[in-house]
Amino acid sequence: MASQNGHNPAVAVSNLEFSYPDGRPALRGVELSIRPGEKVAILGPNGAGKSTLLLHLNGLLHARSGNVAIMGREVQEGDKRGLQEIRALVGVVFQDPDDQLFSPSVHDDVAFGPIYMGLPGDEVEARVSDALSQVGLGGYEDRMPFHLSGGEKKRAAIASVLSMRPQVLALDEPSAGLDPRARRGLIQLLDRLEQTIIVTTHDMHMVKDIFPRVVIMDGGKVVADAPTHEILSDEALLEEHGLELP
Amino acid sequence: MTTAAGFLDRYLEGESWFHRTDARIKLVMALGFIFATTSIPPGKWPGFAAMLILVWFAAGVSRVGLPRVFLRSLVAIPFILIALPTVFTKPGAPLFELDLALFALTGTQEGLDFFFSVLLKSWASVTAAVVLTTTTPPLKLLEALRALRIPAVLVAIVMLMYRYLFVLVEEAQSMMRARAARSAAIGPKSGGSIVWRAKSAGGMAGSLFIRTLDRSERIYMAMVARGYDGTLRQADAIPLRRGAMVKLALLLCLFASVAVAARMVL
Repeated sequence: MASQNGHNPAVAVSNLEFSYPDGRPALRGVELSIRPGEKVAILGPNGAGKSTLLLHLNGLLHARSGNVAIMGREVQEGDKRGLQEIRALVGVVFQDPDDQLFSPSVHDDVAFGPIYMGLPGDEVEARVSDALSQVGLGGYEDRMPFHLSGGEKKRAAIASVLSMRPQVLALDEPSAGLDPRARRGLIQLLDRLEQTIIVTTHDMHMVKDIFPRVVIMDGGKVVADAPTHEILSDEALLEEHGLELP
Repeated sequence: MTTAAGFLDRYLEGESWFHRTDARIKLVMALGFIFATTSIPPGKWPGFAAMLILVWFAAGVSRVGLPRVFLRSLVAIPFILIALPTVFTKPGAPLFELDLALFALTGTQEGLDFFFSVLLKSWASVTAAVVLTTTTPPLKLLEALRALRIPAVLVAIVMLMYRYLFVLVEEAQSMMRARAARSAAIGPKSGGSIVWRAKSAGGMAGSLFIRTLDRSERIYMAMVARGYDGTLRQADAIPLRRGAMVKLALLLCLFASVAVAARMVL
C-alpha cells in the first residue's frame, strides 16, 4: 500500500475490470492516475464504461480484479469503516438530481452526508449553509427539491456532496439537460471549486473551457489520455471514438 | 410541474395564529381534538355542537377561507356513507319504513341517532385535519411525527413517498402525454377495442413500475454514496418553548372537558 505522505495521487486506478451481474463486461483493465487538484474530463460514447468507472471511485461497485485507491487509501469491499472514509473523500454527483435529492427539503439533503459522518449538530448546520452558499443557493434550505428548476436541482445535488468536504468530486454528465444559462452557471461553479474534479460528459465546449486534461474511454478501456488541446486537435482520434469537435 | 403539485399540496401560505404555531403543537392539538370528539357517545348533541363550534372557530382563525375548509372537509363523505346501513340495522324503536319492491327496511330512532353522531364526529374530525394540513407545510408535519416518536422507518417511508410522489406523477403524466400525442382519431370510431386499450394501459403501469424500481436502486446508491449505513439518523429537533406547551395543555384540557361535559348532559 502506498504511503500517506501527500505525494499520493488523488485517484489511482489500476487494471480495473468489472462485469455487470448479467455477465456483460463493462470495464476491461482501466488505468488512470489523477493528481490532487486536477480537473479531468472523461469522454467517450454511451456504454463506454464512464459512469461505471465513477461508481467504483467510492466503492458503490466493486471490481472483479484490479484496484482503486483514493489519496493512497485502497477501496476494499467489505471494509465497512474504510468505505465510509472513502465515501467522505469522494463525492459522487449522479446524473439525475432527482435520484440524488431524496429528502423532502434541500436542507435535509445537504445535511444527510454530514449527519452520517457523525458530525455534531452545529457543525452539520455550519456545513449546510456553507455548501449552499458555495453553490449560490443560500436561503433555499426549506425549499422542496421537486419545486427547484433543473439548474437549481443540479446545484443542490452538488451542495449535497460538498457538505461532506470531499477531496475528489466525481460528476456524471453534470451539464446534461441544462438550459444555456444554467449550464454556464454550472461551468463557472465547477471552475471555481478547488477539489480534484472528474466528470464524464459529452459537452465538448465545457471540456474546452475548464478541463485541461481529457481521458477518452471506449469499450471499457482508456484509449487516450492527454492534455485537452492535443486531444481536441486530433480529429482522427475523435472520429474513431464517435466524438465531435466543438 | 405545477400540475403534479396542484393536487398533492394541501398547504396554503398564510399569516395566522395557526401558521405561526409549531407543527408539533398543532399535531397534538388536532389529535387531542379528534380523540375528544370521537369519545363523545352517540346522541349527545350539545357535545357535538360544541366541538363543531370549536373547529369552525379554528377554521376562522386560520384565515384560509371558510368555503375552502368546507370543500376540503367533504372528503369525509364516502366514509360517512359507510355508516348509512346502521340506520336500519341498529335495533330500537321503529321510526319509518322504506318499502322497496322486494323487501322493506325499517329505520330506527337509535339507528338514526347513531348515524348522525357518526356523521358529525367524522365531519368535525376531518375539518380539524383540514385546518392542520392547510396551515402546516408537509415537511413540518413529518418532522412533527418524528418528534412524537413515531417509528423512524415509518416517517422515512412517508417522507420518501411524499418526495417521489411528485416525480412519479410527472413521469406518469409524460407517459400519458406521449400516448395522447399518438392517439390521433380519424373518423368517429377510434382507439381500438377495450381489450387493446386495457393492454396498453397495463403496459404503461408496468413500465412505470419498472422505472420506479430502477429509480429506487439509484436513490439507494445515492444514499450509500453519502455514507448511509442502514440506520436512520436525523438532526436534533429544536426544543419547544414553554409558552407553547402551556397553550397546548390549556387547549387539550378544554377538549377533554367538553367531551366529559357532553357525557353528563342528558
